[in-house]
Amino acid sequence: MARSSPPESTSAERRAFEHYLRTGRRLPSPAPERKFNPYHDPRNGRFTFAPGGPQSLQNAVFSDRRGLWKPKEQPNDTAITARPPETRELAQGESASSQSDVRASSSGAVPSAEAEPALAKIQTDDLTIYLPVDPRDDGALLRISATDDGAQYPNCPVGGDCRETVSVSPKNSDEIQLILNRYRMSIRDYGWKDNDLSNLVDIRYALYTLMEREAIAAHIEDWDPTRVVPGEWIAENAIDFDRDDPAGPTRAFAYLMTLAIDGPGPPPELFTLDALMDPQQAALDQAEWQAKNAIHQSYQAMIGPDPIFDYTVSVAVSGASAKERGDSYEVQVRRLYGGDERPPSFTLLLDGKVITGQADHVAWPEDTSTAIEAKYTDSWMGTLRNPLSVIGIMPWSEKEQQRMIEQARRYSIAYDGGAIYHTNSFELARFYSKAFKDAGISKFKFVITPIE
Amino acid sequence: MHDSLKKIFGVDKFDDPALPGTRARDPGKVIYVLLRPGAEMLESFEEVTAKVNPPIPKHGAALHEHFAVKTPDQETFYSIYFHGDVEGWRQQIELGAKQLGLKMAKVHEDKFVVSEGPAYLLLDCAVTLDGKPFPLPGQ
Repeated sequence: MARSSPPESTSAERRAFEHYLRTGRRLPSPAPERKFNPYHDPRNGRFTFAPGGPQSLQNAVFSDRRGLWKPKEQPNDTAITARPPETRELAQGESASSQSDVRASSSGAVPSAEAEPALAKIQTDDLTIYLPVDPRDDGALLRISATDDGAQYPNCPVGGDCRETVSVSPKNSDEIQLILNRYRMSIRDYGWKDNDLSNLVDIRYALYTLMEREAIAAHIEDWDPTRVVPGEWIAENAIDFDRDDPAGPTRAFAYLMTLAIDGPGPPPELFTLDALMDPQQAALDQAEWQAKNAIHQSYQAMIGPDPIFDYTVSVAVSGASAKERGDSYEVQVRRLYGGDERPPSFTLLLDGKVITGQADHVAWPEDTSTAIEAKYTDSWMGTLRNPLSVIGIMPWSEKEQQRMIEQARRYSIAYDGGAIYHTNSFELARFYSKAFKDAGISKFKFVITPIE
Repeated sequence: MHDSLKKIFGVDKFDDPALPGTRARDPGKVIYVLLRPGAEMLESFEEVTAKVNPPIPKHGAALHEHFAVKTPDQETFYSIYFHGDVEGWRQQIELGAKQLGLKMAKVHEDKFVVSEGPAYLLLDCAVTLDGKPFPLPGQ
């Protein structure tokens, strides 16, 4: 990422002067500065500030960045409680709750903890988040942040325009990954809606504040957006942070990664009344979208699509050691399938050799045998299955990583339906999805089964 | 079975365990092999499937599903399901069992037919799954 971006406070004149010093050329007549700021009010274009501010690293706050959707009434729900805006921010160093701590305020009734599970609803412990769903569906339609379309959705449980504010104090990055995954799934299934890009940036910002740097680095590898668009463009358009703000680089990175992974959303429409009235602005909008899309395309070409994973209900694990918790996780996954009997053993031929083995479970979806495997990890950065972890480079770790791939290969031969891998770790699912594909294995699927 | 799994698999239903040889996927893909008294089923399965070397099948696999059928004559047979190179696996298992001197059997309609031996009504046999009784419909 370009580190030469000027501080926010640098004036256009000073930048022009610095450019002259560097290049000996004068900048063309100053054009209106165009910057991205996720905290702007699309209705009037004014910049606003993120709720929680830069000190709220422990307290990821989704939406209501403009404070527009304050509750009309205090919910009397004990599981989801209203929190006034001034209490959202945790002082730096103050630890977040060890349990999921979710508070929501909304423009209307807050979903009750006793309510029946609804479509497109994530519920983990006392965390309840409604995600955008197709307005034609009968399910819940609560937006994580403001909608700009002004539509009145009849299926909105709070009535009106379905605006919802949810703040989350997650206990680990996997909880944020689950939300991000579900949000991306909603975009995949129903298409982009107004504020989705900003929401994705918000969620990733929360994620990256909780992830370890080495894990984040694995999402980038050798990708360098400055090879696609000039670093200067990135500095001025794609990122917009104050170096004095410790959260700035993380937010800028979250924005770049959202462009890279999910893209900029649909291109601006050309044949609208506004575009026809101001064709110059329309052209600028198009050019900006093209540049952002170039970032997306370059990432997709080099790193590939970031998978969206199916997920199940969460399961409870117990045990004093990681191995015991892993065994407990395996039992719980098997119970999801309603089975606790010993799965079939198999014998297969691989490279001319007879090999025997046994999966954690075998399911028969519509007469097709499918191996079920449970892969639990306490911490992706602490597991020997991760080559980027501290112990991942040890010889025995490399052996385990290779064993994972060989196991998938065997399952793909032994079982007609291949294998379903349940894991609580998005990073494990992401890493081995790629590793299996690179090894030429196609009959597999990763499913997230979170732990309670 | 949790409902969310059906969506993930993209299917309407999961099949419950059923006696090998009676399922839609089974025709031509299931052989029962005699279990010697006192022998371990899994060890016998591995011995039979690996007996012929080099192996005959070119691809695919054989599965031991922990089903066993005990005939009225007190002989126990366990099932082997195979897929992929079906003909190759059939030869591999039949030749292996023959070299080990083990009888084979198959399910045909409502009967359990022992090779070169009697045929029993399935309802007269005791079926187990992983060592536990597995009553057949009508039993």
